[in-house]
Amino acid sequence: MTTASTTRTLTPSQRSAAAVGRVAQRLAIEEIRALSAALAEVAADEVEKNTGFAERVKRRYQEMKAKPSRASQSPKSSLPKRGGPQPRVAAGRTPGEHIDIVSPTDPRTLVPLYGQDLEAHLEEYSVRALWDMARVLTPHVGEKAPAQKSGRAALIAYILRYVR
Amino acid sequence: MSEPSPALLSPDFEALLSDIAHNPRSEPLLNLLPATFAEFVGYLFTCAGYEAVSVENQFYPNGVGVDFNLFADLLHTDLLARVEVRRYKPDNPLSADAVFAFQGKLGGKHAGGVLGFLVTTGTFTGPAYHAEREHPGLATLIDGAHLLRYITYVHGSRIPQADGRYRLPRPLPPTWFRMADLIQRPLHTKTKVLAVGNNRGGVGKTVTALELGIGLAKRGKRVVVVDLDGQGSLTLALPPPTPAPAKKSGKKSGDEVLPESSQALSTGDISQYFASSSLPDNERIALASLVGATVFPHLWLIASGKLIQDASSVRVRSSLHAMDTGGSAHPEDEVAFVSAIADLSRHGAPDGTPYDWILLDTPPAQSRYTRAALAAAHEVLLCTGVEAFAAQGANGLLDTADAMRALMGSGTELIGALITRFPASPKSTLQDEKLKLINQLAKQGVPVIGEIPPDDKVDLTNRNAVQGGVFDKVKGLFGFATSSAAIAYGNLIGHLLQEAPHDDS
Repeated sequence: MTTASTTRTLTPSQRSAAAVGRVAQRLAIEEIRALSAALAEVAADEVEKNTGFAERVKRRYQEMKAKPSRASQSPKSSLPKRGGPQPRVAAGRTPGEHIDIVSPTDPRTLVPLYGQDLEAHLEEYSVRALWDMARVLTPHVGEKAPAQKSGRAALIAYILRYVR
Repeated sequence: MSEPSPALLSPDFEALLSDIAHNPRSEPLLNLLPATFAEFVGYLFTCAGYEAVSVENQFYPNGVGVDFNLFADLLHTDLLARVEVRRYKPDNPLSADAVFAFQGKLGGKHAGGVLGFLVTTGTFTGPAYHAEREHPGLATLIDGAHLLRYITYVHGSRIPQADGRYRLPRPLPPTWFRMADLIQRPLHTKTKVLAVGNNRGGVGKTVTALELGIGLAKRGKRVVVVDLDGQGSLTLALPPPTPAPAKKSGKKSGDEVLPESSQALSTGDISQYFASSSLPDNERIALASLVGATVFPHLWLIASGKLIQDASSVRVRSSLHAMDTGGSAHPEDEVAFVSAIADLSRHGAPDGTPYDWILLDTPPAQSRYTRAALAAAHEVLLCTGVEAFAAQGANGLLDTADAMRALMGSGTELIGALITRFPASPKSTLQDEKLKLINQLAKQGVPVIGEIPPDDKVDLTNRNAVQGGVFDKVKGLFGFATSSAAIAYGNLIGHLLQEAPHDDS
């Protein structure tokens, strides 16, 4: 399950999408846009009635505000953390591998790279890219990929169902 | 010996060549029948630019016959070498007797004997190498490890043509792989040699070399940057401290004649080295003699061409383009450059101190100079933008790195990839492509070690230099305190210094 602790490296909009996706999965809802509006309205009502809930929202807001998102961080954030030399690789091609950023990604190839963090990684892609990935999977799994308009959560759920 | 795998009884030699080149190992060769292995080695020599003619059942006086002869021409009039191959396991080394027998088949050197290559998938005994040394330049012993290096080098040195075929190189003798063993790169713990590359142009290689050079020098490191790109952008961006007094060119034999209104601001450049690289060692121009000062303390430059100033502009006139043989293989050239860089390191900076870093800025496209740089470098920094052609260029660079590692027998290591000119707030499709690039680099084992945002000041740096008249004002990005790119390059430099084994900062 994606939680706040596992989404802290994401941008606010990515965190929002991840949270809505969790609710969509729990409630088996497909229409993400309406769900987002419903969540916001119910939350607003709850803030007015429930001070504990209001405090949680405020703390989470201040935490997000204090910690800039990955996208707006200085370039320093994209560099590896200090803490010892990185393992080096021999310069050269890995057999069978070819760098190609045009073809859609086969999400099965991401499992060795991300393992348990695959869900969080998938949250970083656009809905269009997720749909492309789902369509790569379709011929191999026998279940039709969700439509692009079914949204991020449904596409991620479809991908995770068949790559794990 | 075990039975050969049925799947390899009639192998597709091209597929086998490619497989071994990308994943060097002896097993696929040991699985071939001896005669098929001999045919494969013949195919390899054909790919290396020879006309390989099987000797078949001709009998030679001293035991098993030579397997094939190598010619330089289609008419088979110019016999270059004879080859005998043995598909032996590593625990079955060839003895001195086998070498003596082979030498006997070549004819005495003084009696006009031809060169020979004795090739095995296994090894040779110590006395076998002693027997080789007794008649230097006659028979060259190629063991399994050198055979694998030769396969990788030949595979990575053919130029693909539009019709899907390869343009064959001029004959590439495997002798170079034995000679390369005698050439040492500079001691890694003293001077680090870093090449910046990508076969794609416009991905920020030169700016990266420039900013790394300036940034390392500002941190007290002693750095020489070698501009291997005939466009001369790095040379323009790192002019000498003050314009030198006008040099009346055309006075000396061999100098370029300049108009009276022009003056040469530099005296030596890397094209002079490459023009002399085919000469014997003692006649080749030393790189140390081509090093010039820049406006930055502790930062020196070997220019790509002559820096010329006239009334309206400053420009670089380089003959590197004219001498570029593209991606074709010139092992003697590549090995010589490794020696030249090692000599430069030993010689040290003009002020007598050793260099901490030698930075090699490589040109775009398949190039003689990229090959030389990747042979000489301890490490490679892959610069890439998030775009399809830059990714293709990265593939090309990695292929060349494979070939050069095969030549030298020890690895040029990939320090990582640097993603350049990536906006802080990218469109979603660009972000998707960046994720794809990072993942595909990761699959090749290449970490992304930095990301450089677009920054107008990167261009300004070069523009100032190109316009001329600002020789005491070139600041590099680090002159701009608020430059996001400067911050990113600063972080990259911190990363490089952290990883440098000789550095305690």
